[in-house]
Amino acid sequence: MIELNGITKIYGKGDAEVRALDNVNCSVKEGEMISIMGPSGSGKSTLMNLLGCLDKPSSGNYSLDGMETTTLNDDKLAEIRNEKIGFVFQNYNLLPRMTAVENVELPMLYNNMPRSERHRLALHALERVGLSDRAKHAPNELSGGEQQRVAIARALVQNPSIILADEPTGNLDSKSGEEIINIFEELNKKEGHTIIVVTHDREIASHTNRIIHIKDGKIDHEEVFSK
Amino acid sequence: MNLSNELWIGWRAISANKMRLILTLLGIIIGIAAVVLLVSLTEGIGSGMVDGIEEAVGSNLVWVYPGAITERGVTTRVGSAKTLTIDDAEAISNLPYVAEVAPVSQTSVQVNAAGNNIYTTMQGVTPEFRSVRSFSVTDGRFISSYDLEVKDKVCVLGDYVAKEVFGDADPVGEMVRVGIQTITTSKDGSGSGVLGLVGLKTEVKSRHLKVIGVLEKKGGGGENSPDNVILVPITTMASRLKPMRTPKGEDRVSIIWVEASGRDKMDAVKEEIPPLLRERHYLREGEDDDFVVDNMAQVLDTISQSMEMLSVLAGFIAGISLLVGGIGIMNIMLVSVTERTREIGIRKAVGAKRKNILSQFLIESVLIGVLGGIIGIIVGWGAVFSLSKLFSHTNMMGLDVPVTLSVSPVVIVIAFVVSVGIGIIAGIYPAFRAARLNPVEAIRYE
Ligand SMILES: Nc1ncnc2c1ncn2[C@@H]1O[C@H](COP(=O)(O)OP(=O)(O)O)[C@@H](O)[C@H]1O
Ligand SMILES: [Mg+2]
Repeated sequence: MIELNGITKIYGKGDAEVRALDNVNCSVKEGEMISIMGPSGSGKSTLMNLLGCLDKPSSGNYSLDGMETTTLNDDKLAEIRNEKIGFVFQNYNLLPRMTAVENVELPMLYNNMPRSERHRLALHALERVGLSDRAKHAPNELSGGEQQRVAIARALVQNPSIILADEPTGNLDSKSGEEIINIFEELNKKEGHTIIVVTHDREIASHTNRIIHIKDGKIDHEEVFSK
Repeated sequence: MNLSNELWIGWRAISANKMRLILTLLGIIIGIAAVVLLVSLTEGIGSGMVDGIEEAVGSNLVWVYPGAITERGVTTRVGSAKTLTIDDAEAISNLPYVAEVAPVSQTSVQVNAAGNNIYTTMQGVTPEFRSVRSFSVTDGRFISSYDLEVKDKVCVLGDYVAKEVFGDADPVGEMVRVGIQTITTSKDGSGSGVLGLVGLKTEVKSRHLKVIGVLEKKGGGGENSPDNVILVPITTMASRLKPMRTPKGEDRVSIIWVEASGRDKMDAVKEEIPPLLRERHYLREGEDDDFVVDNMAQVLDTISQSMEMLSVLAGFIAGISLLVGGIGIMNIMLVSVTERTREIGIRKAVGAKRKNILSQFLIESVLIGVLGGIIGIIVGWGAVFSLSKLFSHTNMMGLDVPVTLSVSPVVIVIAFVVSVGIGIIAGIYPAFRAARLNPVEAIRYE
């Protein structure tokens, strides 16, 4: 479902040029759960942003569900992000003035869903991450692990085909991290979401089917687990 | 996303920081309140002045007074012609579209009674004077045609004269003594000053008149008001008090008030008088009129011109305060966009399009504008209302000007539209900046 062909991302110009991704080729099949590992600055986040249609590559092709995305305009990309992609960030990125359930409703504000339906789906998503009782809490009333679960609920609320998580456990203790990766695993196994997780933690990565190792903007090697 | 939803979200965003919201609103509130107050004030006083003048003078009035004359190449000043007569008034009254005519002869006198004395204007009038000049009599009666017929020695006092001379006492039935200055030829050379040199002398004639009525107060009071007057039958004036003659010996008048049969007939009346009087005064072609026909139009024009200038000035002041208010909104929106860069990034990451972000911020600034506008309208309205309680009348140019202050619906609509417009104009640039943000960079913004 994901096909990357010769993806290159260059930041800056001239002397300040940074080749964050250099001719990356890879594909991810529907229902896969993979992890991306690599040293800091190797281009993992850059790759995730491209996969999430938050950014465009400098060159190369990216086809998602058979659709070439690199030629689409900003609004079309926004639509794809809304429909097909759920993002989970290292620092949760919840809106501080909104309650948990309102944060989860956020993506549905942008696709004309009726209010009651929005609310129902949001509560359901919170239930799936085990936070039904925290729906009315503001982010600053929640622990880091709970905030990240709210972020996961927000990512999965519209049943996207892909969930992208950029170091989702990076700010969490190992116990909370374990909870988070378990949720991903369950989403992958029970509901068939395609999940891509960036992590520095081998323990976390070991929950996935495949590890892509990145170094200096290139895919260094892959590890495939047969489970 | 529906509108009420967006409004609610916008409200939550702008009300998150109450103090900031209030300070931003203040700019718009002051501006809009100033607009409402100043426009209502100029409107109220302007129309009040027009009403006040009509009330003081009478409606649909045209008047004729003596003009300048040119004799042996020398032109005298306007008012010096001695050719306007009671018979001219009679002739004018027969013209079409003329409802009523009131000739007046006028002189300065000293009025004396009850130990007080004041200088005032004595006017010889006919019974029509009362209705033409829309005076009413509060006490006693007005001058009748019988009074004119018998040239009775009676008078009607203006409110100011009655108060100055009699105080609170009832003047009706009392006698007043009027001192009238006349100029006569002195046969014994006893005159003094300039007049004496040319064989003339001044003499003060004293006459007793019986007060038969008092006029209702009309002006704003004071010596220059239309209430400082003493009215006598025009025939009494001509024969017993102060004879005024044309060179041909006819009874002369100082002014002829002409009431047109309708407002739209005033121009017609104004046009038909000159040919009539030219003929009656035997003026040859090429000779200037020896009279002037005038009406309120000029006076009202002057007033509305100065009122217009006043409202332009008022609008300018209000406009500046609105500009300041608008800059305040723009400033706060720019701050808000910067502060919420990360929020914008997050919204974009979950699928917000440019137009969603644009409308979100635009709605916030319009909300601030509308909120400030509504409060401003209420404040302005309140100010107008309290002012209208304080000043129902004002005295302007000796006239009692009724000030009816009210906020017209038009003003409210304009003020509202302006506040929405300011919200949009002030918000559009910050909103565009927000909408254009790159999602990746916005999310990383600390
Ligand atoms: N917006 C940017 N502008 C310039 N350079 C960037 C930008 N984003 C990332 N980079 C650079 O690209 C490289 C890859 O960054 P990133 O993808 O964030 O690495 P990782 O997530 O693997 O730590 C780094 O050298 C980083 O400094
Ligand atoms: Mg990173």
